Amino acid sequence: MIARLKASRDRYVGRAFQATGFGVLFRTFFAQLFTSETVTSDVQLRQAMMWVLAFILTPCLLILIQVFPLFQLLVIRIGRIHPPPGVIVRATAVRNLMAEDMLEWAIQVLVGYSMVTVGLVAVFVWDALSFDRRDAMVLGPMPLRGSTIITSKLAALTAFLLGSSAAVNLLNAVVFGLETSDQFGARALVLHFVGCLVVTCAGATLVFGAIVMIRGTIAVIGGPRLAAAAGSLLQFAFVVALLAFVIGLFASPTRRGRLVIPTLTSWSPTTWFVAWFEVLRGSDRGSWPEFVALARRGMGAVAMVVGGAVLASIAAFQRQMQLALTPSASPGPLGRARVSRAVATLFVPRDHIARATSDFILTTIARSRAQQAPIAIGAAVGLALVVLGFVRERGEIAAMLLVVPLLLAYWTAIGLRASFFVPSELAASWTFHANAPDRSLSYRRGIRASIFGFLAPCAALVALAIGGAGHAVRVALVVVALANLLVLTIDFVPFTRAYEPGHAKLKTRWPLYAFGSYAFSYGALKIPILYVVLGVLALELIGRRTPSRWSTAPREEDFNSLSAVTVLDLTGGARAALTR
Amino acid sequence: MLAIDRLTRHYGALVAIQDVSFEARPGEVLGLLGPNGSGKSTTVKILTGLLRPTSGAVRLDGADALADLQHYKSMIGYVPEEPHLYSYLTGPEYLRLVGRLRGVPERALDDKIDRFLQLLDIYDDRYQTLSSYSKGMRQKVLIAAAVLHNPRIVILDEAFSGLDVSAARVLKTFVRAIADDGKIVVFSSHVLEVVEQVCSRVVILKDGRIVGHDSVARLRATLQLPTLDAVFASLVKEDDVDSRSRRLIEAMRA
Repeated sequence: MIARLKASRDRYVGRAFQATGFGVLFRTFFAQLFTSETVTSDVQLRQAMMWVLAFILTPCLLILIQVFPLFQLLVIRIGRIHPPPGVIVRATAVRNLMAEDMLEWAIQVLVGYSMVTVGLVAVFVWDALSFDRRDAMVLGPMPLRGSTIITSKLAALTAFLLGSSAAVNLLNAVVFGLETSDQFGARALVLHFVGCLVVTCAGATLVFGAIVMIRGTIAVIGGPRLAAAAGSLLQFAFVVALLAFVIGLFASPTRRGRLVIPTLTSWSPTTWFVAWFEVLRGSDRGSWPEFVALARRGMGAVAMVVGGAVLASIAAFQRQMQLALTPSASPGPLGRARVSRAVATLFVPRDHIARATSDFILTTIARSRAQQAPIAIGAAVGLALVVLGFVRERGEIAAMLLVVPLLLAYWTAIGLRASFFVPSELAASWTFHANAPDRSLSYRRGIRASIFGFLAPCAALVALAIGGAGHAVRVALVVVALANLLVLTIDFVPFTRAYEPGHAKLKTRWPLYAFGSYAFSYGALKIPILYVVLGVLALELIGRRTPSRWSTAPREEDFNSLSAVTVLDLTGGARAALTR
Repeated sequence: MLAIDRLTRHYGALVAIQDVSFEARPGEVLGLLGPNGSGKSTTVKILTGLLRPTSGAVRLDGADALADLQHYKSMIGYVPEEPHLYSYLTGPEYLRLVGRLRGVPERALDDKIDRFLQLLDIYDDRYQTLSSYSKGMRQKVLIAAAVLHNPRIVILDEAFSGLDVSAARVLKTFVRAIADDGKIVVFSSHVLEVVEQVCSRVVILKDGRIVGHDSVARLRATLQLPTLDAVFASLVKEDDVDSRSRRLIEAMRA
């Protein structure tokens, strides 16, 4: 009897503890999605989040404002025009079809937008989407069931998905419901609002689930380096997708004709959700067999992706628990940056400090996702501008092609410069200060070489393929000029200084970036190559003559906040700490 | 009593430990020694329930401890060799997370955390994130996290690494006091002087096997050597230290 009571008590206490463990872990995992270990203040992080939210919400609202007057006009005409019998049937039927087509178009825009923006948000929290070695090491010794850890992680991801979906889609659904139900009554308002919210959130779930599945799968079959590379690549892809989506929509804000054509569009996910919307709002089209089949395909796809994401998360957890007991991963070929380092070395063959600096910069970039993120965003902006260029310059494709490597190189360089301010190796500044304190010219050369080594190989290869050897030389020279110019704006060893909030001054400096974009792409193409060479030499002279404000010493405020000095961490684990 | 019975662990073809058996009793500090690759970390990971043995058993009071792993883990406090922490949390936040996961009552938790932070001299840094802590400060947080729930078994793996002299002195006494309180303490370290001061008995591992297992005094007496350092060198048959040192100098001058 006593034993049974004890067992019952243990069960009760165990259950209560499990509930507590779940709650605590849920909060921890949820908080992980909103933290950054490279941003130096919470205020700064919150500001960045607000900017991102504003950046992703505004374009869609603008599109809706642009599109709905057309829809309203159409609907008002259907309601108000009363031609004689015989004409009415055909005219009204045609306008009804047009209104339905436009409604489907608007839903497709909203679904596509939801998928792209929530995908973008998801890839920005890429590292927190799955379990890592640290999770396994911290939580492994805790008296927690694996199922508790996994369910709390999945619950945190679900809460994040719901929150981000609501942030992106709720306002759009309200606007959509109000605008499209005018003249159709309250039932239409509710159905349009609910239908819009359901399918846009389903689209977001499909993309989010797919990204979680990819993250989990990489955690199982790849290593942390592959995960980092894939994360940066996906960030780049989603920024491009969002910018291309917005540019495409503003370039062509309406579309005529049927959108759902089973023989042509049946494998497009947005079509599945459009059909699902029609089913939900109970329209005539919603009862057509092809629409029902497509809607079912959408539901099935969401269910499969969610199931896949859950399975991948479970597998990733098991894998991390195994990996936690083995040594840290080696950098792998991607983490060695052999080509860019070799090219940078050509630039500073005899200066050992410059070579060491460029090696440090290029290796850190190759291995650190914190640095890769701004570079990916910069490159994505460049690619979006290339797309915009092609849309606008339809008649001059050849001229536009020549601009491609220059535009991409410029914006990647802007991203690269931004990455220098990410203080991921703050504690390593002593390495430079202790070993070579007064060699600012060498550091400057090293940074310039690293910019050149990072940009020149790809840019010159693309230029060679597009415009031949002459164009490749021009592009390489422009990259040298760009590197010479950018290095004038850096006065510290990259990654080793705390970021001062507001230093980027994007709100006031954007015309400068826009001018640079023009000057280093279209402008650089129009001037003779001799002038480019002279420009490079002039910038080189300015670089040598500019009084140096350089210092490798950790700033006092940085040093005070660092209670320790840590050995440079290029190989994956902090290996030592020295003085207090 | 914690009894390790013929533990063997294979990583594929590699045998990390082979037939390792020893006991850790309440009231004593058991030292675990061995050069790199000797199987110390594997043994510690099995003891903490992080790793399953290929064969053999871990018995607590005669029962198979690994059969109810969750219950066993709830009785363990563990300071890992590598300071894995959520570095975006502050020290108190991390301790609160661990305390809650360990089921420490909320009312007692904050008071405990404050006391630990004050006693370990990191109270003034309580608003800083762990990313800005020195290795010694992180180590103090890990030690506090390991004993926050008053565990029955404490396993310390290079626990004093990075600590300053006075903190190390306090914590050496603390480790002894934990054992005196009736806990089972397993202390793994490379620093033989500390092991000699803290541990009642030692287990010396080499190539995954036990090469010595007794009290420090008895090992010294048996081998007729003056220090644990000499005992260790004799048992693990280290390379000639002088010769290796000479080769290092040669490499430095090259």
